[in-house]
Amino acid sequence: MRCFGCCIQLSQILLWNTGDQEYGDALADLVRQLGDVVKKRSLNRQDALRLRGRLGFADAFLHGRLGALVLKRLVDHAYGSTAAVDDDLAGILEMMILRLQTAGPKTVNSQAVREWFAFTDAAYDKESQDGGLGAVLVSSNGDCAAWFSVQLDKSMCDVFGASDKEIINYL
Amino acid sequence: MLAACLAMDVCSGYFKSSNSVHYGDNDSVHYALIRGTGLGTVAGTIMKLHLRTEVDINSCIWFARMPTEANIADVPSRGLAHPFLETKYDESSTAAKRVARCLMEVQKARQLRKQKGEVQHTSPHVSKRPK
Repeated sequence: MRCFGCCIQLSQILLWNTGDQEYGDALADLVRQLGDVVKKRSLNRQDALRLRGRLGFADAFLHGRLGALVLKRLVDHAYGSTAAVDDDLAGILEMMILRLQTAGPKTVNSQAVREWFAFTDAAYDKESQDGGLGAVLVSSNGDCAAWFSVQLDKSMCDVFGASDKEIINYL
Repeated sequence: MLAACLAMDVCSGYFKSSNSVHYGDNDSVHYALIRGTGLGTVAGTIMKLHLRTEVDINSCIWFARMPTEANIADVPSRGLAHPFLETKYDESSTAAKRVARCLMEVQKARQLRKQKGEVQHTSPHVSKRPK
């Protein structure tokens, strides 16, 4: 079964026609509409709300943070004071276009319950002015699947704003 | 934030089309990751990279906070060894290459901002009330 932005795969049976014309047309139309907004850099309230309605399928469950972010930013823009589309909104819309064009629909299958746990942390020493990044990837069985440890020297920390702020959260 | 971005990038093969939970011990980073926005040039650039990777790998991420004492990633971030972290799973060399990429993106964004003549606040955004 295939609907806008979502595929449901039951066992090995393909229930949708991959050449679904209606789906393809609707997707192409939406991508075109988003592309127009990015190109013109202007979106009035009525069009913003209409676009938000069309992107209603892009809820957080199906499209992660990006879907939720796009909806929020479109509503913020619609009730803002200007029709001009700022760089942030344009960037997010561009990512949404990319998501629709390349990532393909979400697939619901037996692998949907596969989970990974990523633990991340950063360290910064004020005296030596160097830092480090670390992450550990743990499987749902509790086994370590990957990890890394990267040390950052002073020049690298400076690029990330160590010399600008007392606490650098960027790391 | 950079650690989360890097983890996502380095482990993208594992995260592809999967549900994953990202743990960190920094509150402000945690909330920024949930919002999907970063304030300032550096945080904004890193967040864009993070979002782009999420889009590329078609993943749904849940962000959670944990205390520093329980965060196993605290060990590698200080360059220390731990029996849980076996050498065969070490991806540090890949991560180092990806850091270089993040550095380049941040430098590019900073230069662009400078060219536009925008000023980034480097001091805290809180002004003290005069006595």
